[in-house]
Amino acid sequence: MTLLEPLPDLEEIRALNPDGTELLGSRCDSCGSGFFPRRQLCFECGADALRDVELGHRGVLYSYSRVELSSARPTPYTLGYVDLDNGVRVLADISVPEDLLVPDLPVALTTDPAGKWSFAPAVNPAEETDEN
Amino acid sequence: MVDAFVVSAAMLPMGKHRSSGYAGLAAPPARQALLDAGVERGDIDAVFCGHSFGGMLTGQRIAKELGLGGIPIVNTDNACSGGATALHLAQKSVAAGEHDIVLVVGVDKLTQFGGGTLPLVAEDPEVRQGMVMPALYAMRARRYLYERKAEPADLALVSVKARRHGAMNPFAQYQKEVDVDQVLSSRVIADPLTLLQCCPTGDGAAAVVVVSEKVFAAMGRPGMRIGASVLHSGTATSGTRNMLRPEISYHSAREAYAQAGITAADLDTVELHDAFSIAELVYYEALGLCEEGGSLEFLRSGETTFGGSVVVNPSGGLLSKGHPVGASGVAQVVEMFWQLTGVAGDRQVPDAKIALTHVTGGGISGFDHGACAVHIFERAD
Repeated sequence: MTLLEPLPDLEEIRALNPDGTELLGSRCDSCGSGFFPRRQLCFECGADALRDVELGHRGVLYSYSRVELSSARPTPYTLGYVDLDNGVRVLADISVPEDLLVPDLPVALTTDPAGKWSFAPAVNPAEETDEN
Repeated sequence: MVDAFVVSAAMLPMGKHRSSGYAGLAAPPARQALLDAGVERGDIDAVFCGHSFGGMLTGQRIAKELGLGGIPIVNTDNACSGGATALHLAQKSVAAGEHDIVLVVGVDKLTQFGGGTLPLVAEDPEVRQGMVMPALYAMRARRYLYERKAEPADLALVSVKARRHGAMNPFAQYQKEVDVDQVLSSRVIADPLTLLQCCPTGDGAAAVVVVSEKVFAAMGRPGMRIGASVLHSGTATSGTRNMLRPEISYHSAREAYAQAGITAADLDTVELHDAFSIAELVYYEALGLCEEGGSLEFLRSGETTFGGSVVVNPSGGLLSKGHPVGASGVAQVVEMFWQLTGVAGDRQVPDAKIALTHVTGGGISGFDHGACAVHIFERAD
């Protein structure tokens, strides 16, 4: 007989690492799958050995849309699917006008002064950051 | 395994029926389906009711109007696949020999939300981010335009065809034809999709009676055999996904063809889930009606309209007929019943013998869609 606990809702807690430079997600210790947002169960292999990881800040814009009618939040806003360099797909706000966008565009994480995160075209997409 | 047959079908004209509740919407088609089948209330073994927003005991509230009781009534929610899921359960119960005569109802009333996009469940992280159904399909559309080097005007052709078909359907919410310019100049909902490329919100209900082979033979009425009934859920992935190859529809269709022992080439007519213009193009390929990458050419060729080899959405589809989500899966079956029994009037597909219906149900992250149901029907006299 196991006393079980419910899974808390992690979504609202934190999307970025402490200094706001990378998306914060989860990685499964069993199969290596990455997830965003953070979660406690791995739906790829079924394990529950997930830990917080930084998922990076660069990716490629798979597709996008400027939303003009929505029951979800005030309009207009632009959403896009960003495929991070490590293969995780993230639905994100895109913070530049739509006419500057094209599918397969390299994009990078950006935060505004209020700490709200979004993605925008990468300034130097070809340049690998080596600041570690 | 017992073969299951659809022996009667009825639906309400779709539209904004603000002064009716769920029971008021669904009782007339349910009653009509029973009358057409020539079955008494006491003959019904079970009711399966698909809906998304009807609240608790929707099927029972409808059954009460008809004086049906003392039998199993099952309510199914699977977003836009709810009605088709109800049919799937009905078919299974007949095939298993549990029931001989079953009533299937699909109903939803979207005017209760006062317009706007379909309310999705805010527990989902993408919904919290602002995901709405038009945005999802718009991203599919954007990718399609990019990969296939297509233009927004190409997408608009789907709406033009849907409206042309709907203009021949007295049950359609929209019965007026439109041209490409009107489609493109209508209000932007989620770029590149404009208002006339999105299914309307409205209210509707549809009902069919499903019976066992033994009962069908005794009735001596025209109907259709359910040759395949397939229900899939989506498979979650945290990784990338090709939005132009929706695998849930692809796999459900392949399974249905195998179950029915036919190929896509055998189909005379199809009702597929054209919730947005782009969906029809993507589903041509997923259902195997044309080659991968060939959907635009296939649409332009006229093969999917009257006179073509497979008439897609003769009813006008979700774009023109309307899409009260839980009702649609059953409403598609009603159209195919009318087509296969030769009573579709102005929009009759000549000598239609084999038909397919396809619905998906979306709205949660990580999935292509949450649910997908595919049915194949064969004319039975």
